[in-house]
Amino acid sequence: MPISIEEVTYLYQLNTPFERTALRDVNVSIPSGALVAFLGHTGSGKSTLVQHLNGLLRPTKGRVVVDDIEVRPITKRRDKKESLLPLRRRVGLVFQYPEHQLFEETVERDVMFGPRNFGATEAEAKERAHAALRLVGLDEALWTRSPFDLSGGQMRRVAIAGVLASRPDVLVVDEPTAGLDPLGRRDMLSLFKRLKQELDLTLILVSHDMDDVLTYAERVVVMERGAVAFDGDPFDLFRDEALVTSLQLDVPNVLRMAQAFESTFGPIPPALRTETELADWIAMNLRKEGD
Amino acid sequence: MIIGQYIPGHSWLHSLDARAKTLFVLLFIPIVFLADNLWTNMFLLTFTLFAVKLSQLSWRFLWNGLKMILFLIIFTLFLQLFFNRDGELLVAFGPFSIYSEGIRMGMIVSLRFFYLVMLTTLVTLTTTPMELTDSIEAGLRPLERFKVPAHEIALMLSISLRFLPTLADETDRIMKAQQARGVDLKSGPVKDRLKAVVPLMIPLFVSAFKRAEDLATAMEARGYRGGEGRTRWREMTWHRRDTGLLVAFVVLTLILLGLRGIG
Repeated sequence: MPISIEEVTYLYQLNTPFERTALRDVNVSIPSGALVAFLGHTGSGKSTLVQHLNGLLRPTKGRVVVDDIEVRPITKRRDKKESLLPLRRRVGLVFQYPEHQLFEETVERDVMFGPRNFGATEAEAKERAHAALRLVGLDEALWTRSPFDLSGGQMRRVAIAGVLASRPDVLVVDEPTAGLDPLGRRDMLSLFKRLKQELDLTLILVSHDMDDVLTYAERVVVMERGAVAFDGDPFDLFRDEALVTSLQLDVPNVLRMAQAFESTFGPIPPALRTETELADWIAMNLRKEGD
Repeated sequence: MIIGQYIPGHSWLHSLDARAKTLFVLLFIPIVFLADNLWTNMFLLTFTLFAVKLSQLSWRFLWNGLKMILFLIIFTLFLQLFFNRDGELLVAFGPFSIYSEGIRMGMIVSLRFFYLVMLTTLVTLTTTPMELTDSIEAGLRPLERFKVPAHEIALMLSISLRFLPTLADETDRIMKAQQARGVDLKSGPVKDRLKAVVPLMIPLFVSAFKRAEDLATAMEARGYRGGEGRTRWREMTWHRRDTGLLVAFVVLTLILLGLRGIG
């Protein structure tokens, strides 16, 4: 589903002494099936922006259009009552620390919560919940347990299944790797990459991790103080050291390693994005030299 | 609703010692009842508006925040207007009749209400919650002799105050997470909306208990022990202006007493 964010401005706590601009004239358009990362520091507005995608927040000015549904500012009383349920079903949002949303008695019932709210029957909801739990790879033996008995990583998978069960076309994930160890991070990100392919999703990743963005995203939108500071290929961003510094970002470890390697051993192909790709290439070429 | 909020600023009211401000408001409550005629009320009204001016808060913000209270004030006015049957009968239509005392008392009661709300709000708006609890502790300290756990009460207060914004953020986050899963909090029958509270309350309680446990562990790990002999990081200092405020209070009372005689 194509998404277009047009001239969106958002003010927090309108008409109070605490009023401040969270977003300023943001324009981003995301074609169907894309994998886009939003990168930025805490308070840069990236989380605020993605909450507009399913109408949790509504712009103060401008509009967001998802497929044929429009999210406008609230101008009339009627706008406030307007149901955004159809939009919320199609745009799934996985929040930071999603395990905090769990509340049901069993894992299965918790995952069924979304589909039930969006109008699925009990049987349909159950079927969708099972499918979602299989997708995130949660062992069937755990389905009837209380979500509070699970480990942190398992709880997070349940929560993600809880969003997937509504069968969204767009999946927005806000810092999915927060609080996970390096292995857990890699698992989580490859889970989303796999989900995107299997379910043909438009995937939007919110992150502040340079390596994650370089490795997984096809396109990166850098947010800085509520405005878009860069929009393009992550590789173009991170190779431009002056730009990286001016946006107060870091060069991802992979690129730094590649640069260090280049300065000693000579040029390497520019398209190596992941640790594995880089490691494999180095291993192969060192071996060649050894021959 | 703005009662209980704190708005950072550098006005004269902000700079006063929290103890002076709370003491002033406590003393102010009884003397509001001294205002019983036109002159005393004119005087207190001027004083209240002057205090607002001193706080440097925007009138529009106060107005927006106190609209709800205004409704209560007008309600008491009407209550007096229609049910007070003292004095001369002025107007009568159907079952309603308005007496002169009704108008007078209605005005006085709602004005008193206004002064109190305004001044207490000004204190909370210009004093950080931490300063407020410190001043409560200072106020309770003399009662320690009677085994009142002043420090513990203040600690409980400041911990709750400290976690209010945290819990508010958490509520907001969980609410949004459940809304993203299709919970509709804004429309639908009341029964459904009440049911929608469960997915909100359970996660909130879980995290609140977890936080409490973490905090207790963290405090114990640092060897926390309250009460006697404990030094403070935030020392409150009493300035000349704070004594000034209390002197102003005495003057205020004397003027009120004087003006009572005129009317």
